[in-house]
Amino acid sequence: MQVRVRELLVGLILSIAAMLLPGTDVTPASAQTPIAPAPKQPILFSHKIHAGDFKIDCQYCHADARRSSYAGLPSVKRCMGCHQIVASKDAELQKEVEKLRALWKEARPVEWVRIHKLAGFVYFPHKRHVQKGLACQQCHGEVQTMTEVAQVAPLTMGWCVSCHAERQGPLDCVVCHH
Amino acid sequence: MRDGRRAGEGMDRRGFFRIVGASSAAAAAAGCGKTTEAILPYVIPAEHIVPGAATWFATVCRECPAGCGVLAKSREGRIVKLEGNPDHPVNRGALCARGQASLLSTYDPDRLPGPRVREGDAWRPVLVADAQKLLVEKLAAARQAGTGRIAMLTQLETGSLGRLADEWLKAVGGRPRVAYETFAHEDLRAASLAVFGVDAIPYHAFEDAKTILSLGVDFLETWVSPVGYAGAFRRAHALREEHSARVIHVEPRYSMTAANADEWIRSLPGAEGAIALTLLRLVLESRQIPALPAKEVAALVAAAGAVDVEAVAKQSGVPVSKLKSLAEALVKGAPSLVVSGGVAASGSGGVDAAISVNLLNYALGNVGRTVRFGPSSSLSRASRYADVLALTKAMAQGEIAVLIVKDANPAFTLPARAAFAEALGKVPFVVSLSSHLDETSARAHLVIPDLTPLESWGDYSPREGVWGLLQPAMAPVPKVGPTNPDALDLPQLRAVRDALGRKAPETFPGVETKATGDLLLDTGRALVPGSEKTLFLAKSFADYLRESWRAMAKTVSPKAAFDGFWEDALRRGGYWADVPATKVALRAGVKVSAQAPPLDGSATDPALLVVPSSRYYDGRGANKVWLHEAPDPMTQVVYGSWVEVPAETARSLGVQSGDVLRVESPHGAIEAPAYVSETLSAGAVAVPTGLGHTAYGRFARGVGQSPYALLPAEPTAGSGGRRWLGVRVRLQKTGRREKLASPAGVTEVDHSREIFETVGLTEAVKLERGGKAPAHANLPSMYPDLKYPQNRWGMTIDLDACTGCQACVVACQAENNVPSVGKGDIDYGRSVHWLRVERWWDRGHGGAAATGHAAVPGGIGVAQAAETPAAGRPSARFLPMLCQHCEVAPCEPVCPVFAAYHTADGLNAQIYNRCVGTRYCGNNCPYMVRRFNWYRYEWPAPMNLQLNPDVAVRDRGIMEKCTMCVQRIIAGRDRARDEGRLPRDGEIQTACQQTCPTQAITFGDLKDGKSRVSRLSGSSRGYHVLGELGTRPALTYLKKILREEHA
Amino acid sequence: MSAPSGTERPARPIAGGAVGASPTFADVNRDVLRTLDFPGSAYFGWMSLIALILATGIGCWVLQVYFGMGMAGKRNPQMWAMYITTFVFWIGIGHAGTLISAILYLFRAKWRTSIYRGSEAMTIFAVMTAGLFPVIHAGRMWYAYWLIPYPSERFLWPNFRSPLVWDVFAISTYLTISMVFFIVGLVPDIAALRDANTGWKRFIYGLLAMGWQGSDRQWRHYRRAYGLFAALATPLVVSVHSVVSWDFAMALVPGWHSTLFAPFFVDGAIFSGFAMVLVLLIPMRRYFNLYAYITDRHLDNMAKLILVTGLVLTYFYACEGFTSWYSGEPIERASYLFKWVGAYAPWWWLQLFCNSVAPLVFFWRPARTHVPTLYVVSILVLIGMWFERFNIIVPGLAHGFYPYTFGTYIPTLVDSGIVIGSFAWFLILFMGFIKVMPSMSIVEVKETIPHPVRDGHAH
Repeated sequence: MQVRVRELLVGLILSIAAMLLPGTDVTPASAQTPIAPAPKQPILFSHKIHAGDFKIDCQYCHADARRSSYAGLPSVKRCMGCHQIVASKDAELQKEVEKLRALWKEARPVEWVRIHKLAGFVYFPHKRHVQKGLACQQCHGEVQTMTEVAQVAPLTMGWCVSCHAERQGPLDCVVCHH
Repeated sequence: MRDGRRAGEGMDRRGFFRIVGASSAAAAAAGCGKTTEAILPYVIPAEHIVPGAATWFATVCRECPAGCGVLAKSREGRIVKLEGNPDHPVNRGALCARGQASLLSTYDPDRLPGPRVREGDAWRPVLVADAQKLLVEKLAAARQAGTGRIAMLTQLETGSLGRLADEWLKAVGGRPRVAYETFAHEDLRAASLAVFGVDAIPYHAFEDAKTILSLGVDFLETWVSPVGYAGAFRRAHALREEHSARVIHVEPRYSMTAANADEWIRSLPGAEGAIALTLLRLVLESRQIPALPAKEVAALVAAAGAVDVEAVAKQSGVPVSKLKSLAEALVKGAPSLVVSGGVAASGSGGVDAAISVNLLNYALGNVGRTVRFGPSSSLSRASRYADVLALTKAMAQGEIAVLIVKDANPAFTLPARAAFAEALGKVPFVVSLSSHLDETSARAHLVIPDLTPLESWGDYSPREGVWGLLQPAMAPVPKVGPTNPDALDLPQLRAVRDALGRKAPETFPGVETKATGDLLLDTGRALVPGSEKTLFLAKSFADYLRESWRAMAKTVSPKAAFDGFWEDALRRGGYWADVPATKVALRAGVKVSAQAPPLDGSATDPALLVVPSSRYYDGRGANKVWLHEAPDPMTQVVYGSWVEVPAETARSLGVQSGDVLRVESPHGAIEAPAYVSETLSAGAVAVPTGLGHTAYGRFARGVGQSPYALLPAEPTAGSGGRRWLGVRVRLQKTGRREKLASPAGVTEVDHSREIFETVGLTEAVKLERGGKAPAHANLPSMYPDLKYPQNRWGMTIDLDACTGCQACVVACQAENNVPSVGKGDIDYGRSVHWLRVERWWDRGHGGAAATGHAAVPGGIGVAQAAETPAAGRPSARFLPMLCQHCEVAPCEPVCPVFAAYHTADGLNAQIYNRCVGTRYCGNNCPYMVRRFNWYRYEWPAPMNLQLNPDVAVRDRGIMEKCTMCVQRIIAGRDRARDEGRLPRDGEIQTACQQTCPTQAITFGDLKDGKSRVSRLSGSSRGYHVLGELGTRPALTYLKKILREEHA
Repeated sequence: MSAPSGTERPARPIAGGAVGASPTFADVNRDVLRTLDFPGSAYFGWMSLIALILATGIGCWVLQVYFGMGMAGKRNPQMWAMYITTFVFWIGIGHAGTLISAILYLFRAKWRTSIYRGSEAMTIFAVMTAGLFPVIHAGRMWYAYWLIPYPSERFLWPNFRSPLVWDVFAISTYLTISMVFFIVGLVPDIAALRDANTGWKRFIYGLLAMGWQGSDRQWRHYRRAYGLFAALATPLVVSVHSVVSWDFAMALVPGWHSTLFAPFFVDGAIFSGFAMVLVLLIPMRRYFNLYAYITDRHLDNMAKLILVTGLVLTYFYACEGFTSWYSGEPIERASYLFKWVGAYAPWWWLQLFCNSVAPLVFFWRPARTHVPTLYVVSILVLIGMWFERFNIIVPGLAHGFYPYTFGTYIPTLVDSGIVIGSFAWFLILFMGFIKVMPSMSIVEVKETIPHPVRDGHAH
């Protein structure tokens, strides 16, 4: 009898402890394992080709990253800047380019699916981080190797804070929450 | 949607991409799915717009004829905030409450998105092209019928639009345009004409006067150019080198201006003229006036000779001794400035008063010094009330075939007796170009709403030598979905929602209309063959504007290349030059009478004072919810109007605040709740303007009462102006009650509580000389003193400068996404304002002892005070109260989750998404400045476009409060870092500080000994509210200087 | 409430015939086990009524959660109102139980045996009710768990300087200890039930009895454990309510910021706790016909305790007034004066009558055993104590430092509904309990029963 009781109690305590223990997941940012599958984008835009093979600088397209809180998306005009002339050898990929040109003709934007989303009450200025010389990959992973981009960093507060603590970034709550 | 999650999500990202989508050719995908979120890039990037970074456009505020310059802050192509333009000569960076709220006329949920045609009582939306076609047809028909059958009535348009309209009218053979302003101050013009032969309202240089005597002029509220004059007043009034101008205010009512004067002399209604004339006589008798040509002196004497001082003293209720001392003050304290012509005093005797004042100023040698005719106000170019009546008559007689109304609401603002509405009925085709279905547009046959000033080109000249330029700071408001889709909007839950009286979240269709300027050009071309080559050459109004500025540039700066001039004007918000005062001479044989004609109604009844509302102006502000939520400066009443009744009258009628009274004049009657006043002269009752709309919009409709119903139709004899002071009214108790809603609990100054502190002038001067810093209570704390590695942000508020105008309150609401909670909740102490400007009644120490403890919660302070026999009239004190950012903050230790904590640079921060909502901090704050989100508050579309993307939108259950505009601090630091430096002193401004017309608020770094704020907080007048609690606030108040108490 | 006055004996003889004889072991078994018989329609009638009220309360809560705190009458300055009032009230109720079972046990006050089980149950249910309120009260109650210290992904901990966090510890500790103490006390009785029942009931009771055999060794351990828990629980009686009182004492609010609060609250708690015990036991005694066990002596003792604690409370009221006067602080004085003459004055005077005047009747011996009087006074005391907390919180906040924000709080249907619902919740738990567990300790009662052959007067 007593034995069973003890087991019972121990089990109980353990399970409570298990419930309390958090999933403190502070993976190094440059981890490659996507934490969510890459969404299906309207145009199969390959960062691997653009940023990887052709070594186009991230900020050539995401031009606002250094001067604004938003990294910014390339306007259709900017895409067409190259794709007026540049086509793809691969017939499959050329289809994708055609999609873009079609949109340009109708003067319609590409309805990209958002991948990296912070909660509305978090203010993240790309500007400061870029100017500090952080590589985009720090948070977005090795994008230049991804055909379809997926989110690799958890983008949770603990994850942000641990990095800030490491690099003496500000730890004042109001800096990000106001 | 989980709460915290929603905080902020309100606008910043979703909203941004929605706009971008809209401004690109794509139809905006209103609202985004919860699971996947689409992000739309530009097709072609708009210049100036860096998503996430603010762009500023200089333009002009058109809420009133003052024409202040504003800078419009654009984020992602939508204007989120208006601020005064620091370069602008009129307002020098400041804005009033109305100016701050003018943003809402663009984002008004009741705004007409496009043209409408009346069908019976219904309105049918039509395409712009069809609307224009219909208009052209009607106009053509009218022209066939002969000239003078087309009429146009607009607000005061002194710029290109006005010129275009006039040309257009000439071309199509219409009647001369009527530029209607409700408060046009015709009396002042008539007086200038009579005395100096110039039909103008001069510029009054308050800033240069040593003695200011105001005869019933509310120059701090609405008069001519309130923001500019408030600033000028402060510059004169501030205590500098132990001197400050002496300000005396004579009025039957204790207005905000009266409350800010050194001395308020309570006169009887309509006595201004007599007083002025008497003063003229006394001044002349003093023989101390500057040398004048003998014949001018003779003329002055001739004018003033007749007046009998004793009689005037009796008639005005101002004792002879007082009159004498006034005259002396004016003579001694040169240069002086005497002003008259406040709305409440114009009408019967208004012209005589203005004439007498002109003579007085002339005698005192102020004309040309503090009264300048060069930079006259362009109000002088508004039509006279008589002209409006003439048009009304023509309409009534069916002479008008097509009437075009723009940005004017005569059906509401004219006296009911003028029967404008009926006259409208006689006009076969009425076209409204206003963006709202106000009382006038509602009676139109066709509405082609104009774009708002923020969306359109234009220019406006508030006074000679100042040309303000309006540019489209944003594209017309696009299609907008609700901020947060309401779960109760599910069909299954509709019943529940209705039962709980909640409205379904709205969607704004998006504005598609044609700007009036373009409309005039197009219709002009269509109507007048050949005009496309000549008159209406300009392709668009933008071109027309540019061309007319080209012409203007030739005159003002002939050398400069126009393109540069234009660019510069766009950047600065216009062009302005100093205009010297033109010399004016006294006309011979000026006739003036001290006897004001009697008012309509029986002589025993009190006179009706019509008070122009500092929040709603003539009524155009009534659909702006921010103005409803900001309390009236003097009464602290929100939402709704009232009849201000003197305590004596109230006692004799057995009336208390909130009892509904029937106010009956010979011309009409209204029923409004009484506001018992201890200060109002027994011979008068006062009713504010602006409310009592039957149309116009959700916030305006059915709120309050309008005094226009009580006024006579016939104009003032001398000036053709309105007889604002024209009737006596009979009061009658109805037995109904309508509680006046107010955030104020007890407003009697209790001197045993260290809340509002004052200091006598002599004492203040002594302190100034001594210049020793105040000994703030610095009680020991259990916790180690805080270190401030970088800055310590702090603020000072100079109670001597604060006029109580509420501009900061509205600015704060605009900057910080402060929700509007509605009448009931404000009255129940659930206002969410981070900053409140409190009006306190001070009865001196004796008085406070009497009222300090007996104070019972609820109601408006003065309401209880009125019951107790007044120990002398109370003086109003204005105290802006906001988070004190205490160093030893009572709210911080009690928060269980560190949502309230102290930042390294001395801010008392509140982290919304961490807040659990125990409200312990709210209890523990001795200043009661912590606000709670009792519900999830709505921003009906498109108001949600105004939300500041840099500030989280708080959801229900969250505590919030003043952050000292931390987002502005962060932005300022950011700017500094980009330029590799530290923020300069004064570079970072809080919203309240930025807008303050009298610069009462100073913000900055207390660690930097040289900063303005640390100098001021070390001022010998400084004190901390409730300092003895040892909270060590970062806010220091500077005691109000009592120069003289009013008689 | 027309219960027969305590002096008369039950109609039916308890045992062996002689009316007035004290019960024998057999009687005890029979009488106690009889309380667990299948209840009648009256019981179910009451239960369903209470359930209905509870459901309404829950409905109100749902509304409040969906639309926000505005549904309750709170406002600025009364950021706290009825919820915290009721929270403190229930915590107070939760005191008598432990006091009776633990402290009186340590003092070997034998008369406690027949009432401690009931009052312990009351304690636990009261604390369970009280525990709801901080959650109901929170603006975003779904984040209330942030008050619990756990290593979170955000690297954030609760603020250990905040009295609210102390509450979390105090209450959870108190609940745990009294729960364990309660269960330990139950074990032998459950064993008795196990033996008395058959089938599935026997099985369940068997599990709960945790293999109790009543062997000599078990009894030795049992006694030691029981004494140990009693010793553990005793200090908690004092600590819990002191901590709760610091929610107020630690604040700046005039009238709250006082060192008086801890003893003040503890005494008030015991005061109201005994009142609640009486309110529950008197009907129970009647319903289950337990006159032989819950005798006049019990009533008399508890009445005395109420009288004493009531007098002490009155003394504290006097102190409250004195300190606010003696402080010389005009704001303190104004705030205290406001309680006397302000918008809430009626409740203030009601509180004084219920807590300071009403109990005085117990100076008069007959009143201490006269059931109707006892019952009425106890009810009054409960009302008085609820209003005492109300008068600390609401008027205190209504008339603080800043006159401009003075205002009166008006309850709405929602917060009233939730408060009333909490009483239903408590009753449903208690009435459920008395039908599944022995509401009187068989074992301990037996211990106090004299040996049949000896003279009846045991003590």
